Amino acid sequence: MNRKPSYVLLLAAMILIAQPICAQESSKVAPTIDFTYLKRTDGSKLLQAKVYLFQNRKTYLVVNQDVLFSAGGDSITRATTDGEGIAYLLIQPGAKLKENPDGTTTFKVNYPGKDTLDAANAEITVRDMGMAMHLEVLDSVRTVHVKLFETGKKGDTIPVSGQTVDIYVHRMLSLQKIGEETTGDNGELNLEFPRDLPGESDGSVTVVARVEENEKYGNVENSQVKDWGIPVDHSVVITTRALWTQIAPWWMIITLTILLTGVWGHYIYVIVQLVMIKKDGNKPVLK
Amino acid sequence: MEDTNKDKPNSRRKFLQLGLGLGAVSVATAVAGKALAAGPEGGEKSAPSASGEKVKVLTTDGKVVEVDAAQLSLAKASGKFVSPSESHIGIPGRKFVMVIDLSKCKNARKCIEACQEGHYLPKDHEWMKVFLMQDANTTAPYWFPKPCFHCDNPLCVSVCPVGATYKRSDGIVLVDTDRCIGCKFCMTGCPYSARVFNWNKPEVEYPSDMKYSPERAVPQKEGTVGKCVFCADKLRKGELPRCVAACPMGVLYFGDILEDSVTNGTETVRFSELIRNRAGYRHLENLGNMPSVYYLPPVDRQFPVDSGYDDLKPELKERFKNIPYIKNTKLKKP
Amino acid sequence: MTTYNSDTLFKEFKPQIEQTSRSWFIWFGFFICCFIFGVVGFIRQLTGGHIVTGMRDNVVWGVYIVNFIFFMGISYAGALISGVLHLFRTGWRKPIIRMVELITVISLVIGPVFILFCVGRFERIPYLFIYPRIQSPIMWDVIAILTDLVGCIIFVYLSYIEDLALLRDRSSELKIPKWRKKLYKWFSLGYKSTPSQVKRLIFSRNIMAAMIIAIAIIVYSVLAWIFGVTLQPGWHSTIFGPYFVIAAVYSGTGVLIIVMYLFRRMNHLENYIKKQHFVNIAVLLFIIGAFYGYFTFADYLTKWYGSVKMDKELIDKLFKDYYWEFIVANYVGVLVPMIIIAFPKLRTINNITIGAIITIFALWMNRYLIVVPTLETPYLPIQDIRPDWVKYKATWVEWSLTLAGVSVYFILFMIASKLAPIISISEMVHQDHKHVPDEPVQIL
Ligand code: SF4
Repeated sequence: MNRKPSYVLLLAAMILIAQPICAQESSKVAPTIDFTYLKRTDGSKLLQAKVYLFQNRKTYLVVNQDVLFSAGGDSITRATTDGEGIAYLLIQPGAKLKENPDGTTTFKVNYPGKDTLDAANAEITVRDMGMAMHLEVLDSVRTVHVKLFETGKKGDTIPVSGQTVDIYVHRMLSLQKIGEETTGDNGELNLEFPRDLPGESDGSVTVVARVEENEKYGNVENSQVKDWGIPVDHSVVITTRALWTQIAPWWMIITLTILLTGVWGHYIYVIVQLVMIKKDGNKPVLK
Repeated sequence: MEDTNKDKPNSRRKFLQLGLGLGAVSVATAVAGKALAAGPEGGEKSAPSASGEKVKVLTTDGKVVEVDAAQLSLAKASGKFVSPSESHIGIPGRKFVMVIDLSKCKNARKCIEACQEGHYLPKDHEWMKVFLMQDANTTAPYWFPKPCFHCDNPLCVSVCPVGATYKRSDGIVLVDTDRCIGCKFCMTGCPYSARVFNWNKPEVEYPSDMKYSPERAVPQKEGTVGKCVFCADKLRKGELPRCVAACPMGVLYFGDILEDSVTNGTETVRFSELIRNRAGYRHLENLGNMPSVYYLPPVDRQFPVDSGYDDLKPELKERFKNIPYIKNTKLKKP
Repeated sequence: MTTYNSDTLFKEFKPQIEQTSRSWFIWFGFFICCFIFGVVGFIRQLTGGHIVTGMRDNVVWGVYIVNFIFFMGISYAGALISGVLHLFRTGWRKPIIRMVELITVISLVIGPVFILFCVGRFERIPYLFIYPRIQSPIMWDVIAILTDLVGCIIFVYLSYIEDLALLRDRSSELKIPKWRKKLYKWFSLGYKSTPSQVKRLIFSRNIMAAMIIAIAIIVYSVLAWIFGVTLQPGWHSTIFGPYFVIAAVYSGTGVLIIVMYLFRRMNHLENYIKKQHFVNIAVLLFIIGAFYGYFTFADYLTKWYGSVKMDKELIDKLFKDYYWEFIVANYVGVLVPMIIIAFPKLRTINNITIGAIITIFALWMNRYLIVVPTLETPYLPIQDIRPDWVKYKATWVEWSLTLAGVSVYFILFMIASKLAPIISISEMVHQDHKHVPDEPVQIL
């Protein structure tokens, strides 16, 4: 018995005793949905719905369940939660979505419920914003240049000012922040990129600019790969005279071989002598 | 109630990671005429459909309902299976490092619990241990979380007669319990008491479909050695080790020393800066094993040492009865 | 000067290999019972897992390893003594040489078995040969022990050939079952003392004697390095190699005295094993004991003065929790036998044997004090509430297997002494050099 669910079981048993059996038939548990919106570098929009139950300080992921996404009210798509309880919807760049009168778009997700799992809903309303990023060297300063804009009715760009943008470099386990700036009136900002950050073996780093959890615009990001990092040597350094390697150091192999051949050589010699003794014994003794 | 919130998965962090991850996978599944596509396709679908097993959960109005186990899962989907022989090869281009900030530890023991849960360890097997250290009678006590140090000059690996324990290119030291003969030489070789022996068959249940891989080290086998694996299975998926993710105080930082970056899940800092600014050090440096785990000294503490002691269960308190500080302050009879 | 002739010796020893007395059977039965007790313990360990032993995460090696070192020590000592005595043509060695050789082989067979009890997965022992890693001192040990075992068996066998040939030639006079006669015939390799055979045999024996001395030293050093290469306080010592060798010879010599005493009583060998033999071996014991005491002192002295934190903790522990054991192992075990031997008045056979028993016991204790207290003193404090995790206490399972090990030692000896005379007839008859007297020489 896994001890974790057993705790739940115990609780369950206690409650079962206390409650009339019929009462549970109508009861359902309602999962929670964490719903997020992210506009990505290529202009596509990623919707992510994580469905889970949180009980007894434990998270139960709702897996392999169909959820329904809707964007702008009409288009409805079905997606299935994966092994992490997450369902995704990717909206390709340039897709025409129905807007609310104020220019925002509403995204919804609905989990219809199944068996004893109750239905759950979540929705996000955001305004579409574009982000452009240029990585350039200005006066020998490596500069991250970001511009935020909205697209007007006629396809014109309207700068978005006063928004905070976080600049990161991408790391294996997280994003490492190198700074944050607020866009000016022209919707632009500049940030100096540090010179001492390690990159890949070719010196490349992935620079990420993000507007995060903005009430109006949701999450918007732009990422680019640039060779602004210090090239890092990824080869494995083995300290001299290391003994933990799979193969033994050569001197050890040689010493052992010499010792063993020396000793076993003598053994074999003696055994040969024994065989000879036996042979001699078979000969008739000459008087 | 506060505790509950602390334990909630940090969905934002997860999301932050995902934007980029997907960008690399490229989910260009645009169907003509329709701008919407569900993605990413081909995600792991490990849970079987309608298993018949039930998980009992409580409704908001305090009733118990049973939910088909196929719809719920406690554990996240496991990544690609890594066989014992494949586990000899490290994650390319990585060299992992952990930094433990002693000034923030208050012995909440969440790391230990997460570790035991994730690796299906019996309750008395602690791969992560938290010691109450007091170096001398006159010095201050502090809480000292200690995983395996994954040394760069690991004596345990040097002395293993069958190569059952090995060090990989990413710095992780693993044990293959299919190979281990249980001679315990590595346990005497390790000066940090990192290794735990399975003196009997571990009395825990683990998912029956779980295949043994040294990276997760489940299940543990009787007569062999187990130890912290830096959650190599999680790292393969680009996730933080379980203890790091579980620590509510952000004591544990983990990262890649080649990227010079460590994170405790909420905060990402440069490793070299952290070590420089906070005078980081390695435990028992004089032994020359070159650990991959660094400590930040317990200065400017966020919690008094007592707070880690007072909330403990009595049997856990017992452990520290020989520490001079505890003897003098807690156990002294009036 | 007595010269022996093979005919009289054969007649004299004939009854010993022909008949078995009642007391022999009683003792044999007793040891078999002890052995069965050990088997019960072993089955308990197999079914219950290693949790039935007293070993835990800190003290991962216990009585099993102590016994392993102990038996290996005896065996190498045997090899060393027999090799040295053989090469130096010591005249008085002749009646005891076979006992020494048997000590060597028998303890070499028993010692490694304790390793099998100690490893968590003994069915995986073949992995040592399938996936060897020669950086590991355990691997050195495996190789060295196997080499030593083969070497010792060859060496002992060589010394048996002449006697076996004699027994074969005169088997018509022996009232023993057929299979034993066949055995003699088969194993004597048709040895007829032709000049070429004699030459080959003597040459082979000299080679093996030299080999065995070298291997004994290497093997016991390697065994010591299992401890020496780790960083544990008390183990991480450069002196451990030579120290173990000396301790081994010390314990081996003690066992030799006891074995001499037992066979002298049981097989009535008073005419062959004389007091002077005891005294001579005792003098050897005295010298080795002095070395052993010196090494022990040197090892602890430097640790004590240096007072590295862990060394200090270890020494504190030895003088607090292990006070009596420490006194027995390192004071009584050295001083008492030395005092007995130092005063000619005290040098009786009985006293010397008592001294030897003390030596053996102290040496076992010494190994215990090397293995256990060190493991109870790890670098990171043991913060555990389970008492058996903090302090090692061997369980009945471990003691039963220890007892079984000792009884198998006796059982094998008893069987060996029935297969061929416990005093080598051929050795007694041969003359190494014309002028070497066969009477024991008084060397002190
Ligand atoms: S216990 Fe296992 S891993 Fe450790 S040294 Fe022995 S065989 Fe190797």
